[in-house]
Amino acid sequence: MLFAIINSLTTGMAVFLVAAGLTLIYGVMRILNFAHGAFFMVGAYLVSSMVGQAPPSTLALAAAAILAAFIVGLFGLVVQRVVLKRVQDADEHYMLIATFAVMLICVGVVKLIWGLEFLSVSPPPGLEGGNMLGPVFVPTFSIFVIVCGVLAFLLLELLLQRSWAGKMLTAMSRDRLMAQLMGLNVPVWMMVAVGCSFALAGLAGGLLLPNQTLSPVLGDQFLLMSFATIIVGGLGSIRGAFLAAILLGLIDGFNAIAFPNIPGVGIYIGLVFFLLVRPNGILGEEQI
Amino acid sequence: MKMNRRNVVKAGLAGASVLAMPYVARSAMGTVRIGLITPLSGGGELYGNYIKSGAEIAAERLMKQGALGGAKIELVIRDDKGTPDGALTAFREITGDGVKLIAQGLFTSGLLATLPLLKEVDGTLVMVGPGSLPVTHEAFTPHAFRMGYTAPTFGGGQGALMAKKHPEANKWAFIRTDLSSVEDISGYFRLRLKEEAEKAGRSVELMDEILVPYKTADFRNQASQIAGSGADALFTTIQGADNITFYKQARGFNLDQRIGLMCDSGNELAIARAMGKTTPKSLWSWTGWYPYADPDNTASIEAVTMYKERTGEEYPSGFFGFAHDSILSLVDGLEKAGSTDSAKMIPAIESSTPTGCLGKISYRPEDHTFAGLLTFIRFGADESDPKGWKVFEVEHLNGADYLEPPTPGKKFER
Amino acid sequence: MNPAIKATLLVLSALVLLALPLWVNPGLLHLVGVTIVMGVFAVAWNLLFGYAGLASFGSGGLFSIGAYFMAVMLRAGWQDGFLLLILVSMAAGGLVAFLVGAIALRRSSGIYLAILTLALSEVLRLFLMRWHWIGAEDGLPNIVRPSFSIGIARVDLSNGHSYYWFLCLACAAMVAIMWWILHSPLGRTLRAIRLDPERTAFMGVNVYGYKLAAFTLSGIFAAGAGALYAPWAQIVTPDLGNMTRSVQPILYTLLGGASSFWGPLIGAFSFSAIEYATRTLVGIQEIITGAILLVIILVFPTGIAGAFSRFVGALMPSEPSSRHGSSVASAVRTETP
Repeated sequence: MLFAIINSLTTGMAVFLVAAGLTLIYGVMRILNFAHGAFFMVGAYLVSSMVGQAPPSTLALAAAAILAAFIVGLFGLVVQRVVLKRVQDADEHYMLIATFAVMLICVGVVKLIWGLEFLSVSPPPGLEGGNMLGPVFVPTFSIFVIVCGVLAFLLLELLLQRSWAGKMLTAMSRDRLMAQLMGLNVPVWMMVAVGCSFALAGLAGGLLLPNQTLSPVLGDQFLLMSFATIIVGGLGSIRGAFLAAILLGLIDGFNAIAFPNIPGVGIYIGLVFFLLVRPNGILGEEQI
Repeated sequence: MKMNRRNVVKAGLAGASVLAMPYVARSAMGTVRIGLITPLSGGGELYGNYIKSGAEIAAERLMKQGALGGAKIELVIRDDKGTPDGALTAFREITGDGVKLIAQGLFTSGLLATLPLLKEVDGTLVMVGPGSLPVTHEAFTPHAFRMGYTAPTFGGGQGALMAKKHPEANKWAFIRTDLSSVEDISGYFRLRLKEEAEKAGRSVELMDEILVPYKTADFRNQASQIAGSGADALFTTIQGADNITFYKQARGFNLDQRIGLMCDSGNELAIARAMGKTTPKSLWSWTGWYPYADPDNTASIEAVTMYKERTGEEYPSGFFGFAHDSILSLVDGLEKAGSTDSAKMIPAIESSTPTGCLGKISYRPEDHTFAGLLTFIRFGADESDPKGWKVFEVEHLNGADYLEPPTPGKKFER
Repeated sequence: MNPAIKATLLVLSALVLLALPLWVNPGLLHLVGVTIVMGVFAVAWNLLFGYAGLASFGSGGLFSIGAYFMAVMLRAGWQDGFLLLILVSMAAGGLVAFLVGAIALRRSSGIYLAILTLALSEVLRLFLMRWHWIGAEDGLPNIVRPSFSIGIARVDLSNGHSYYWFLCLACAAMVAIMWWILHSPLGRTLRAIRLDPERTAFMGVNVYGYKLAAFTLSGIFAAGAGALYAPWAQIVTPDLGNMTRSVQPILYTLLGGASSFWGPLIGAFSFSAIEYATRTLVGIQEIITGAILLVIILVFPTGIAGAFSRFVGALMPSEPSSRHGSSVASAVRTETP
């Protein structure tokens, strides 16, 4: 039981790492970014090229992940300049399709560069194996993922709520026009937010890499889960996404234990349930 | 990695240019056209690419050998996108252009869509690699041959082999993807394992199957359940990339230390290629084709050598072998029949037994299902090998012994 | 656009479609058949999107309800009631859409609605995948093309190209009905709701009721498209309802132009044409599709239909713009500066 909870938290935090960037870009640009999963995957492939099948140490993995985050962040700026900026005033559905197109191109390019074969990167020596936590055996990598998730959450909260830059971003996401009138350089801040969002995707890709098998469909797997997470949490809310990630992780874990014959259905049913009970998400704002 | 990357790009471009060449509408004298319908985009793309390579190398080899009186063998390759619609479009396009010999695989639904059309176009088709039962049972048509093993054959065969080779394994755990297409693999493994053990006067405990959804990111719950179950053997039937994720996450629980005997249903060397030296220490897997299983099989060695020259890789997936032998079957049949008419092709393929990558090719006359040799390999991590892994042993079984009974035209009920 | 030009184009394309079996390759013909069905499916989706402003990401589920219903009934030998079966399939799709809409539309809209419908259609697909009675993952093959009698006349759709022609007629009928609905007061009210729901509500219009009507109608025609599809492909699989299928009408609509009634059909045919032309370019399919979409979104945000009307409009500046199509186009344009 305790193990199941820890494991659900691991799943939840893994998804949160991906979903954080997704909800950030929504908060600022009102874009549900279909390409987010694809850039998560690019981050993972980049790191796998840097560290090979077996990273020498946790530090090396983290450094590679940060470097990948930086590179993917730069891609984000390019996407922002070439695509998002031009459609940001259009109907939200057009933005959706634009990011869908970016996703297709991204997956196509990944296939050309890295091929179709499955790739695998093992956890660095420090994160292999596990420890006994009371009566249960807990893999070290699970702890690593949970710690990363919580750290990412605290950091984002701190930055957005406490720092000057965070306040600017929050102001802009509340009312873009007002922020502009107040003399805020909205386009520049927009770039910063998009860059950060993509960088988060890349970082998540690198950190979760030892957890997953790399293939060109890796993006899809996480995309749906993170969509569910940010929708249940309330679009644009980091806190909501954090709560929702834990909640959906628990639902999935409960599903695996209580209804082993129909695995994987719980998430969808939970999603439908939450959407009907709290149509704007747990911490979502009222829709206008 | 770099090698791999460059070659994929190269292969992609080469493929594109070859396919883009317009082909003559009517087959010219001295040219034999064979259609190949396989997923080159979408879900099965990875396997489809192996199938494409296998077919191309077969055509090249056969031309070099001067098969069909030195005729040019031209493959008309079409992407079925892994969907029935894609398969139908491709099938109707190439048959509409007069192609009568076709190799198609690997998805069952695509085959179920095209099999009923073979009669009206007078076609002969070899199915590349499908394992599901319907294509030679309720959807049976004399125009099609299955170049692949059914789930009862390789699943059951592996169960029997494990019972014989490992009498020490008493308590078996099972984990499989929740897809009905893999139900039979696990089901027949259990059946034959039990039968074989009872024949030897032993009883084995078979634990309930643990089901996991298709495309899952996390297997830790299941891995810990297995690690804590006290099982001394494990049979894994998980599809595709998920399978490798399972073995990776199972490492956290030292599953390969705790479980004495690990078996996989057929992801064979894809696991080792991806995991390198972190591959489980010993894993038995069924494989459609292991190129180095029989050093005396020149077809197999030649084909894999050509593949290596082309791509720099030494261990193509089993689907490569299936595709190679599908083309061989068609060309050999045509040689004997002397005409692409299905009335002549069908008996020719039925009665001929050419030797291909998989050894002697023969189909059961009643329902045209493949009745060849089954191959199992044991591989695992090996520090001494530069790849980080190694194939330790190879076992063969006679596939015909494990075939389900023929029921052409009717559903087979266990 | 000039109604005369439009009518001429319509008649010409109908004639070309009807004459296709006489000269094209059967593979291309199969693709065209699928495209016609997908075009109708996309028009049905756009009934919801272009006119009521609601985006569903679960229309593939409704499509597969129609397709599966038809497949099961035809395999059970109900050929004689084929025409009736089409109507019942449509009713089934409409009923499901009505029930979903009755709950969902009260509670959610926008992206939330999109994801809700996506989740529901995924649940349906998972259900179809594990139900052995309807073939589980492999689906239901060997669906017969029916032969039935109307009065004393016997109609046999199993031979040659007869089902193709039937498909053309049935799809034309569905498109005509949708056209008629959207150009009736109902369609005009829906457009008013899309442009300004609050003001429309003030005018005493039951916004929820109209949205629900649009949702139900869209479901009826999506299932109808599915019902016609089953005997054409002669196989149905659970993947008919997957996300890729649900995204298809969206792509077609945006490619063709959501502001035009004909946009989705134009989009479907353009998309298929691109796909067929690039079918031998193995390995770069995604890049091609993605790049084309991106160019369309960035350069022609009103889709092919919008770009075309502007082109025709520029050629004939004196021509007053017609009531339909381009007036909605301009509405969308003002909405998206």
